[in-house]
Amino acid sequence: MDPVVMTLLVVPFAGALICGVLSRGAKALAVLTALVVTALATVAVWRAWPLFPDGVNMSFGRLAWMPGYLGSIQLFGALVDPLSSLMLLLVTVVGFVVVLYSTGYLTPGNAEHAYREGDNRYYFWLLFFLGSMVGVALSPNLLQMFFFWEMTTICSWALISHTHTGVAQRAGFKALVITHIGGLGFLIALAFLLVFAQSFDFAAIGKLGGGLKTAAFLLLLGAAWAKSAQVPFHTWLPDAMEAPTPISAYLHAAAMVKAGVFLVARLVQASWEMPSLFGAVLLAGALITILMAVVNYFRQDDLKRLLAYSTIAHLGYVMLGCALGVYGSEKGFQGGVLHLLCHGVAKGTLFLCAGALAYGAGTRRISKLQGMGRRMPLVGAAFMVGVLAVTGIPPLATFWSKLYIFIGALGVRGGGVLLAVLAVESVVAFSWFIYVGHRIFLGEPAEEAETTPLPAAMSVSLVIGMLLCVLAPVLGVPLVRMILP
Amino acid sequence: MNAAQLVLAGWGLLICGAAACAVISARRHLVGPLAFLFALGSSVLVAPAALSVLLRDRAAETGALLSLPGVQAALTFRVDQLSALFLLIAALIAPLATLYSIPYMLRLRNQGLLRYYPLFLLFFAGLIGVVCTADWLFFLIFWEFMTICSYFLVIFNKEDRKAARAGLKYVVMTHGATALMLIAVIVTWKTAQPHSFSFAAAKAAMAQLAAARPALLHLLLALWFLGFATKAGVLPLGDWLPDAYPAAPSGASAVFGGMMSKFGIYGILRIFLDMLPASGFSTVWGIVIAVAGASSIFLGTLSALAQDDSKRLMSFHVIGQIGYMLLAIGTGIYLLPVNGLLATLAIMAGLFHLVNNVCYKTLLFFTAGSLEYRAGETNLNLLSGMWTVMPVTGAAALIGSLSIAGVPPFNGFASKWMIYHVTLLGVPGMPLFLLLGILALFVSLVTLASFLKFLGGAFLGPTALNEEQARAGDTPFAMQFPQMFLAALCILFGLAPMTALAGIHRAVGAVLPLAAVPSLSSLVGDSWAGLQLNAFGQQATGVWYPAVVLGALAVGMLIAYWVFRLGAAPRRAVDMWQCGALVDGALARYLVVEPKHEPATAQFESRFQAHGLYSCFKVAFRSVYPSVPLPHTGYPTRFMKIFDVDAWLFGPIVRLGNRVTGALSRTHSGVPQMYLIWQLAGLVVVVVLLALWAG
Repeated sequence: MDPVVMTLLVVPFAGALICGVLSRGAKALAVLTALVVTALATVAVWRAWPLFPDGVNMSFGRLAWMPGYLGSIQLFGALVDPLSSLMLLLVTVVGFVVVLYSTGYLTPGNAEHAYREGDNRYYFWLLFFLGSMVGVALSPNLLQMFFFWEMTTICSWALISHTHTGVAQRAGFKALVITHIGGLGFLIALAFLLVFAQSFDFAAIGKLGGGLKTAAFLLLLGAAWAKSAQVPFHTWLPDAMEAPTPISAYLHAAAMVKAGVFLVARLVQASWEMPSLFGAVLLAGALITILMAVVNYFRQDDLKRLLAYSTIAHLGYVMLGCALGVYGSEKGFQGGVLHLLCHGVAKGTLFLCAGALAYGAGTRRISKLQGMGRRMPLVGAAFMVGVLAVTGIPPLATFWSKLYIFIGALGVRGGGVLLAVLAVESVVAFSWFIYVGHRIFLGEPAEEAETTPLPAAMSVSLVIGMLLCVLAPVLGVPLVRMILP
Repeated sequence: MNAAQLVLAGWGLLICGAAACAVISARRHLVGPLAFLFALGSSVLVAPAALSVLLRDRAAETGALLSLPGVQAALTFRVDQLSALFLLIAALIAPLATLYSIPYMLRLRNQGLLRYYPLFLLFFAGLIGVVCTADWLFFLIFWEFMTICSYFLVIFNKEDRKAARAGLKYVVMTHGATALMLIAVIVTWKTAQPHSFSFAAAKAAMAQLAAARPALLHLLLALWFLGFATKAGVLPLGDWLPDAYPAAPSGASAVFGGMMSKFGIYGILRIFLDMLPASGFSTVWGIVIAVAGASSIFLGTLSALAQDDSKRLMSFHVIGQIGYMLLAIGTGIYLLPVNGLLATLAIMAGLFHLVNNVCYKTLLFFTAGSLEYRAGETNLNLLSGMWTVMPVTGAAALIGSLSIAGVPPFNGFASKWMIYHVTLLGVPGMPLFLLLGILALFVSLVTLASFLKFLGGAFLGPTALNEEQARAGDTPFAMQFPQMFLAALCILFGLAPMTALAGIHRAVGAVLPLAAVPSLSSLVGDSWAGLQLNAFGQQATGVWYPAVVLGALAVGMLIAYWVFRLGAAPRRAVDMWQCGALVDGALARYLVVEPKHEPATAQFESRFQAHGLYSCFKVAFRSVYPSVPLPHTGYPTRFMKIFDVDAWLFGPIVRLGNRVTGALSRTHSGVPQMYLIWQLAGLVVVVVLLALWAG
């Protein structure tokens, strides 16, 4: 049992509890906790690196006193392999940036919504979420993943409704219900696995019989779709934009919604023969989702909702990469997983920009914002870098993941059409986001664009975000190359 | 240190320069000279390296700088002769344009220079990367990098809505073009065995496709062509160009118009000469390229005639001039499988025109920028009589205009003459090229006409400046020097075309898919004083010695003067045409006074209109090159409804659930008697069930 990994699993929860009861200083403690978690995660990955692609697999829980096979099932543990390392680094690094950003954002000076109270509960839930995500990333089997999975759902509910306005509460409830119904499917699938396969391993689904296998897969896929806001479960994500913006950046762009695609990636990667029909379902779902999201870009006036739809589309990309993996395309799968990381940092940066705009100008309506480049040059730069990174302009983040996906797409039958569709999507998304960037940052500043200056914590976060957009593939590509489907 | 490593060092210096300029960008007076020093330093490294590659006639290469084993791509700096030619161009223009920008940018007081110099230097780094890489993936990376840098320069005036729209159009169209090329690159990667992005692998893959899957290869070539033609500004893909180039600050406009478009030509040469074997594909695509070129010549130049904005006028000429290069190169590519000698000559003509174009087009953009700098105006109708204030700029503009119009003995003539030569003489059995050549010949006249408009409108006539502006005199030396330097090059390449052609011959030779490249002397003779074209290999088909012709011209003029004196012809006194006069009578109906001007200027305009002579063309050619507005997006509402799952699925389910639970909750009335009745009813049901089960 590795002490670093154990500490990693405990520290965020401890930090959360203390933050929850501290009368003051919750902010500083939260930043410190996130920093420590990031450092621990880095150390854990660094120590496991020489053992990749197998990595470190630890088992902590076995109920030996249970009768029969129940006693021999591995219940809990920690797995540090390339895939979990990628997820782990994403959630901890972006988590740190977001916690840092929050200390500036959740202040009375915020022009969109003056945050005067609720620090304790905010940082409690935020760190609790960080811990849950670390748990998801490190899960060696479906059972543990389910536990942490549901914990992230609860955090999401609490954090979306943080401001306690009616709209926010509705949105939080909607997110909770939809993702939780997905979670219910997960639970049923777990029951199938326990009874018929006697194991919670990612590959256990392969031991199920034909019909049962399909049912279990579809239930798990439904859970993943709900979590990752894929069609037809996508409707909660745009509404969830009522959350404070750092939460949108973290839960609804970088981390929580990634849990769904992470589960799918785990299933695809696990050593079992996945029928190509499953791949077809994945592929169809991904394409429909991308199409839906792109069509929705054009009528969004709320910057955050626009970003939410873009997130949905990019999660579709990850799903698509996984589907290519089912069809045997190694590059496509690696691209999908890499996209998970690259999109996470790029979209996180964009959300932080949206938050900074709202903080300064008091609105996130695209039609109201104008000429912000003069008022907030740093935000303008970060937004442009984010847009270029998220739409795949070389050499920034998602260019590399999209390249891998494109290459992978050519490896399957009918890949030329797929390639053309993806290229069109990329160009359309790029055009629209550049257009939106123009609307917001260029032109003469609007009258009401008198802005409050950004706190240093937010500016620093934006700069880190920009750097991550450049650096993510440098770290991500070597990692994903060790992932073999 | 070999040549490629030197180029790499120069490239690194540009990156460092960008970082340094970013750091001190707030010191407005320092950042410009610093950028210039870095650009100059980089050129001092790059230019000798490129020259040495050309002189030794051998490519140089660094080792792999960055290797991506995951996708079988590797970044190496490989400088072959063709790269070297373009590197020389970049090394020439980069310091000149940066120097020019120093005073120009200081005038734009309300814009931060952080968004100019660092991007400007990065843009040059991107250009160098484009021509130095020998790997298609990194080629596209540098290509897109260059595009994005130039896009940010186009939207430099961030308060200007028009510039923003132009930038949007530019970046969207060129990004789409890059996407097309990315598809082509990936398909080529897939074809290559083993998979690789390297030039060598792509070459092999193309040869393999040519034999096995010709339709796919045609598709790939089409993607490549569309991608590069968009960047080069070929019609109608270059629709963004006349909007985008004028929007940038003049230093950047000059670089875009003078140089960036030509890198599309570089791409076309790489694909259609270096990668593609001489075959039936060359025949087909040679025609396509030549026709695209000729249409650009025609439409671009004719549209230029109708422009009143000097920078916009220049931009249309960028399109027209690119057309000349493509016409020559297309002819050459067409001829590759049949007549290697003439093909080489045609491609050399195209590249020579490219080199000349870099000189005079950059020069002309500079002069337009200088006019804007001094008079604050690019509208030729509002400019007038600048010669008295800016004689040096005026002289430079004159040389540039005569060069671009192809007036001997300037460089534009030499290359255009070569182009006419190969198109008119060269292609027996394919009268299309003859037609295209004649078209090019005639449009050259239109070029002259439109530059008379530029010269006349801006420099001749009475001055329109106020006293203070007039007292300021010509532009600072930092703006004049680049113009003088380029003007000198225009004259040099005009008088001694061999200076350029010797290098161009080696650049072409390095990529020509021929078994044996014809020697320079067999193509254009071996005299430094002129050209002796040998289109068919046996005897000279055309001879051009500028000094001889100039001498003969001088003698002729002396004789004419002598005859004039001898005949004692009477003198008549007439008003001089000052490129503008009071418009009245029949011409008045062509008078176009744009309502945006003040009445005072409108009156001025009616007296000294730059377009006085051109109004009829303006009316006639208005729609030759329509500027397509961006379409307004409509929402496919019905389609959206399908995805609005809340409305037709979740909403009804939730409402149904609410109704059902509401109905059930009515049973809980809170009245004890009701619960007793329910219990009784339940008892009855249980008894009945039991009875049924037992019975």
